[in-house]
Amino acid sequence: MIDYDTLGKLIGAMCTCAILSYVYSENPFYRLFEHIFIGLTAGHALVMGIRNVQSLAFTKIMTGNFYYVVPIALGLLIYTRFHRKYLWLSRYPYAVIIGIATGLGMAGQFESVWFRQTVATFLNLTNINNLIILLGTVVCSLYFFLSKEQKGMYANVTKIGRYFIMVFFGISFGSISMGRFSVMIWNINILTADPQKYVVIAALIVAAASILYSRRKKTVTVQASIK
Amino acid sequence: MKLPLEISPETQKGFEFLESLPKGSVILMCYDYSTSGMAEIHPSADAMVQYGMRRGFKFIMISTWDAGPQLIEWSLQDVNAYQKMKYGEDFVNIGYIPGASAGVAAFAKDIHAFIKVDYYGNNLKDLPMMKTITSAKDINLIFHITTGGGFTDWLYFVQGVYGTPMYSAAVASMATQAIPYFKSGQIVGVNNGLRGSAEFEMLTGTYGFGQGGMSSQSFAHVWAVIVIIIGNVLFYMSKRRRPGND
Repeated sequence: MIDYDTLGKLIGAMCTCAILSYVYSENPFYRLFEHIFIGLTAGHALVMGIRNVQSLAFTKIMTGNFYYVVPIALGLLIYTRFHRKYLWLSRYPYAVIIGIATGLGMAGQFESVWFRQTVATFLNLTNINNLIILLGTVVCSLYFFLSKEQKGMYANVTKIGRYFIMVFFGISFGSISMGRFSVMIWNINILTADPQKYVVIAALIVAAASILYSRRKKTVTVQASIK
Repeated sequence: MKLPLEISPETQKGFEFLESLPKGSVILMCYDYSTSGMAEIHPSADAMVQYGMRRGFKFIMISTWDAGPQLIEWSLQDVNAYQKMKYGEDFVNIGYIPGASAGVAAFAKDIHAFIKVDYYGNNLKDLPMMKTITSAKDINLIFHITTGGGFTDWLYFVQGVYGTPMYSAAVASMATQAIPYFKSGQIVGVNNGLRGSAEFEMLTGTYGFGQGGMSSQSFAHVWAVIVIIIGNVLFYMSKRRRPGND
């Protein structure tokens, strides 16, 4: 009987090894698993989309909530974009989507972002940290104020804003690097466990053999061209 | 080998909030991440469920990411939740909720109107725990585990509207965006990536990949710094040796 858990772990290890082989060079194994990954992701998204429509609309229509026909009809209207003559009809569902997104965004963001985050900058300016927060908020906001040309003294002020933004990007980059280290450590943990380690050993043997073979082939080609 | 680790104020304050919650508090565990973020924040999820089981909290598991239900299952299996807690009374797995921000807003307003069945197909109204939980007002804490997406949805449409306290366990790249909301008092705590998970495990008295992985990560950082210094020294030396630089 097949142990699906073990099988899953072995396939997972195989996928990881194939994708990591890109570090050495692009190869058919990497390509194959890259295509499998994209195909699976697209398939998964499609199935989830169908299930969403089924659970959010069809099931409700079947239980008597006929007004759910309206969002289905609006959704179908998006496909009129494929026909030049009826293209204008697709503007209605887009208008509804944008309207809802704007309404939700305004309602939620006003309190959580505009109000609360602005109030958070009203600090007691008795320590250096609070002064830096206030200065950073003001100069970064000025940097994005594009109605005034950035020259002279004003340009010097916005330049400080740019430095603050660069510091933020630096911190973000450092955090992302830290995250990638975590992923690598997690994967090494998985790959060195039983039974995945046997896949890794097999992959390393195959990789070493293919590297040796390609180098030997290259040497023979060079020698032949010299002769 | 375990390296020393200082607890950051974001994790410390978050833990203090958790400690102040009484027995029977309802925690909404929101798994808004996929396997790519597991290394950094899955240990936080496991630690929270383990800690909550010890404290007698009740859990609602949910995700606005389609990969979430699988991660919920893994998290429940990691801590033997099915053996240690009673399904329907101590925890409920709702699984994936569609609709992004609109879905979150609808869920927070009226859970039973938006979701009829749980992940396993049980009628939500038949589950004893869910009889008294009808909206975001009945939830004591949103423990949001994220690689990025979904954070603002829960913050804007649940925390902002209903005032439900929120705790964010975010990957390191996302935590830089979550920390300003902690500073402003909008969220009660932040677990910053793997480091945050390790700190959280230390505080909650659990041991998982967070603490083990963090030691490896600290060594990796030391190694990265050494390599950067060697690289710069070699670059400087090769520049001096180059003809015309004398």
